[in-house]
Formats: sequence, structure tokens, C-alpha cells
Amino acid sequence: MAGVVFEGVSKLFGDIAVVRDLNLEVRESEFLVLLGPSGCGKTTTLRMVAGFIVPSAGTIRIGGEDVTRLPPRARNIGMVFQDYALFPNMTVAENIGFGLRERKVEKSALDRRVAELLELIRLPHLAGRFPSELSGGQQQRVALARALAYSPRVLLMDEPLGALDLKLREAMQIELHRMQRELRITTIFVTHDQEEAMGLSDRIVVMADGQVQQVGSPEDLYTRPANPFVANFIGKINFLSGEVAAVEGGRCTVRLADQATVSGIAQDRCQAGQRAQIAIRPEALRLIEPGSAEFANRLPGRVKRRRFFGNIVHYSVATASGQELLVESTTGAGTVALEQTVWIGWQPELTLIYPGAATAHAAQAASPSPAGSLA
Amino acid sequence: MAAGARRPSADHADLASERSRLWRLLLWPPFVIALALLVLPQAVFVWMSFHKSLGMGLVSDFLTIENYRRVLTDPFYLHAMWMTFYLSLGATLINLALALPTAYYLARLRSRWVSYFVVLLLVSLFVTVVIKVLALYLVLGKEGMINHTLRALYLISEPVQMLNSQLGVLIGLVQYTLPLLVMLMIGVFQTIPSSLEDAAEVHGATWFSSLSRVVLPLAWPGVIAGSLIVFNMNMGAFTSAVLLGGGRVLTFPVLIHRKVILDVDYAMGATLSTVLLVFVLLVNLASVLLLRERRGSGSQRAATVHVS
Repeated sequence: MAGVVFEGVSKLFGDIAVVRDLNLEVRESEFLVLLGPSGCGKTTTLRMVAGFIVPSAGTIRIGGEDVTRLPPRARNIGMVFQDYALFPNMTVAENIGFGLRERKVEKSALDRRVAELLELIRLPHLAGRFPSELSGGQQQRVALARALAYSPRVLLMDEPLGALDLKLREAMQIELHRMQRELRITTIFVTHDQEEAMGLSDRIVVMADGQVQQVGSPEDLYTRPANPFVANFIGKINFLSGEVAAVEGGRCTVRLADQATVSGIAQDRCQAGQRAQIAIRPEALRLIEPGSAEFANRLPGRVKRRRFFGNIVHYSVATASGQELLVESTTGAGTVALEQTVWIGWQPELTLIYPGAATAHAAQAASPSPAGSLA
Repeated sequence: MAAGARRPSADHADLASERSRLWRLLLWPPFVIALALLVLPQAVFVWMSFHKSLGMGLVSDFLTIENYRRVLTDPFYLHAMWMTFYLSLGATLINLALALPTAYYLARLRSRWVSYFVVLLLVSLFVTVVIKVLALYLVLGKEGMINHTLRALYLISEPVQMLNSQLGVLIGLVQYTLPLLVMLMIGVFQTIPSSLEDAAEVHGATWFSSLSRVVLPLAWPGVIAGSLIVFNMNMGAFTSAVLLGGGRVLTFPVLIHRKVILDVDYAMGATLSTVLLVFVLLVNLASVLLLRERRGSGSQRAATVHVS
């Protein structure tokens, strides 16, 4: 087992920087997820660890050893590919034993290890089958066993669950999680699916435009997103924008276009008069009585849509300034009719304030509708 | 369900089968034309091969296997068959050696130029063989480019005889079928995902091992199929053999031409044709059987040749 360290790693294709000055440490035995939209550089990063792509600048170390220019076969890593890339001309057992055979492992030891892995993935009865005779989930597990067979230092996974249907994907997530905990192998997992990232990882690296946006545990990213992009990418969130009216300590108050004010926790240094973005999770918002003083932040609105999900209900509420806020409420909290005028209230402690003009990402994320990930 | 009840799915199935029946009708004209132009003359030819030639393109009325006895016992014909075979096989093997690396490289090249290269290959296929062979004449002749260059480099003192020899015919056959084989092999390699090679490499395989354990086993059926196509074309190649052999290299197609056109001995020409046809069919059949043996259970997915 070993950790992976990126020191100032960049990759340019022509003039385009796909990965920019990446500095990151993947800890030993950690399950790290590289998360981001397509084209953010996460797959390029993974392929640089694998050795398929040589960085334009910087150093990659595995277990302290500089592997930047080593060919893939000399890195002693395992990898699971998006399309599994099982060898169609080999049986399941031969596929799993591939890496061992390349390492000139003696036949009896090889057979023993293959049997062990077939047990681990719970497919011992399929040893003699060919990949084309397996289901997607089975192929996935064989690919995993093949990558683990020679006890690599690091396991790389490139959107390995993307091709599976929802039910199977969830089952495989649990299975993967179990195996990773059991083997304690350092794992780098690439995905664009934030729920998958949250469910599997110890830590998540959110990437966009070739740059790391934030590194942290799923809880960190959800409760304290470093910027509007991360806030929008992880979970659902509402955005409002306005101008900073007052600053006191870590708090600041923002005046919206309709003169209403909202206060919250400043995520960066704030100055009065500056533009700022306000981000609030849908579950932090409450539908309240008009006169209630329970919450410091209050806005009036009109209920536009109601969507029922069983344990929760989503309301879309249009505020006076025309922005729509997504309110997530539990089913027991009473029903509200459409077009009814309501008040929304929430705690300043659950309000994230990002000073500065909307970044390209935030603008992109928030522009179609204030509750960016409503859909 | 009551009889006559209309079910939408049944209606749909009826419509689909009605349509497929219409499509099937369209297959008849090509079938009839193929029958008239290929099968019928061939049948007449085979029929003639079992009769004694009376000269002037006429045959006797009595069935005989005398023609076949002659072809299969006369050392002249046996040698001609052997030579046709080894020139065709030689050209096929040389072409494989040239085409496989080229096709592999082109199939893996991620560049918009690849499609231009393929178009160029296609264009070179469209150029008539006569023109290509005449160009070879200029290159291979006693005063041609190759001999000229070799002499200028003092590598030889006498010009190498390439025209009117087996070497010339071999070069002609290589030139004749190389572009097609490259195109066929590009198709074969393109059906093998490059992620398989990535997987081999990351799991510890050297480049050689990735080729020999993954790429080539998967390409194998396509390589055999493509080679057979090229081999068959070589076996039947007339223009290259007659022009570059200069009447001294008597391959089977050249012999057939002589028998039919010069000697007007239709019976013997027909016999030679039938022998060539059967021989080529047997070689193909043997290859397919060998391949099936190698593939075992037949459960493996493998790259295939797409001939379009």
C-alpha cells in the first residue's frame, strides 16, 4: 500500500491546459474520489497516475517513488476501466490471472490467488466462462478482481459503475466499499456522479476546468462548500445575489434587489458595497407563519410548484424579486396550496455568503434558475 | 381471447412480416442475374471439362475424365499449380508482414489524417491493374529505377532480372493486393478497443506481450479472413502474371487464358479452371476448419473483417 502525491502536475493538450498545477496528496489506504463535470480533467489526472499520459509539468509519486515517467507496467497499480476492458479471448480465471502471469508467478501460486479472488468477488462458479457470457455487474467484479490480483500499490477506477443500471450500481457501491475497507488499498475513483462520490469516499476532490475546487470529506463539501461551484455541484442548493450591506466578524448582511436583507456566514473576506452570492440548502428553508420571529432571515413568496417524494415534499417558491427558491420540507409539516402567499425563514448559521461577482461557474450553475439543481 | 379480436401487437407483427416479404422480393432480381451470369456459364464450363476436345472450341458427346487425369498427372500442370500456389501464398505473407503494422498504426492513430490515408488506399484500388503493372515495368526493368540505383551504389554489376520472372510476378501480386489487405486489416484492428491494450499494459504486460496475448489473438480470425481474400485474388490474378511474367511464368490463370484463347481448347481450359476453383475452395475450407479448431468452444468474441 502506498499514498499518491501530485506536485505541481499540469497537462496541456496543444494550448489547452486540461489539468492545471495540481497539488494533492492521496493518503495511504484512503478511498479518494475525483469528482467533476465532464472535461474537468479528472480522467486525465487518473490516466497520469496510470502512466498512459505523461504530465507536461510536475511530479507524481507513488509511495514516495517518483513514477512520473515510468511506463504503466512498472508502476504496480491496478485499474478498472469504464468499459471493463476484459480480454474477450480469455476466461474469467485467465483474465484475473493476467497480471500474475505477466509477473511470472508460478502456476500453483497463481491458481491459488485466482481462486482466492473468485471467492472475494463471489463468482467462483464462473471461472471458466468468457466475459461475453457474463452480465454487466459480473464483468465489473471480474475487472476488479483482475486489478487486485497482484496486490497493487494503488487501485484506479475510471467511472466503473457508469454502465450499470441504478439498482445494480447501488449494490456494487456497497460491494466496492466493503472490499476497499477489507483490503485497505489506496483507491482513486473517478466519477461525475456526486451521490456515488458521497457514498463511497473518505475524501472527495471536486475539480472543474482542470483545477481543484475543494478537497474534503463528503460532510465538509456539503456543509462548507468552498465556492458557489462546489455548493452547486454537491447536492441541491439555492442561490440569491445582492450587495453586502454590513459586516461584523465572520457574519455579513446582504441586501437583495428588492431591499430585503439576508445575513449569513461569510465564506471569504467581505466588504460593504461588494456584490455577493448567497447559498442556502433547500432543507434549511422553512415555510413559516407571517409574523413568526423564529428565524432571522425571512422572505415572502408565492408557492409555484409542489412535488411529492414520499418522505419529503419540494416547494418552488417565487420571491418578490422573481427568483425561485426550492424548499424541502418533511411530509408531516402540513400542506400548502399552490399560489398561496407564504413566508420562508431560515437560520443565518445555515446561510453561506460568497463575496465577489459571480464566477463563471457559479453564473453558469445558477443562471437558468436560482435553485440551480432543482431538476 | 375471442377469435378475430384485433390485437395491436399482432397487427404490428403482420405489418412487419408483410414488409419483410416485400424486401425479400427485391432479392430475386440479383439472384436471377447472378444465376444467369455466373452459375450457368460455370456449369457449362464444368460440363465441358468432362468431354474430349475436338478442337475449334468443340467437344465430343461422350463423358470422360481424361482431361482431369492429364492435369493431375502431367508434371507440367502440377508444377504450374504449385508455382501459382507458392507465388500467391508468398505474396499474401509478404503483404501480411507489410499490412499488419501499417494497419495497426493507422487504426490506433487519433488523427483526422487517417481518413485521408484510407481514401488514398481506396483510390489506389480503383486504378486499373494494367496501369499499375505498366508503372512497375518502368521501375523493375533492366534500365529501371531499381537496377539503376543498385548499380549507382555499386551493389551489383549486372542488372537484376526482375521482369519476365517469378520475382516480377511476385512483386506484381504484392502490389495488386496490398492496399486491399491494409484496408481490411484497419477494419480488424479498429474493432479491438484500445482500452484492452491499456488494460494489458497497466496490469503488467510489455508491449510485445500485449500484442501477442491480447491484440493478435483477437485479430486472428480477421487476419485469416483477410488473408484468404487476398490469397484468392492472387490465385486468380491474370494481368500481373501475364504482363510481369512475360510469357515465361505460366501460372494457372495464364495457362487457362492460353488454352482458351490461343489453343481454342475449351475442354482443357475448362478443366484447368475447375481444378483451380476446387483447389482454392479446398484451401479456404481447410483454413476455416483450422481456425475453428483453434477457437475451440467458439464462445470468444473476435474482430471480424467487414468487406464493404
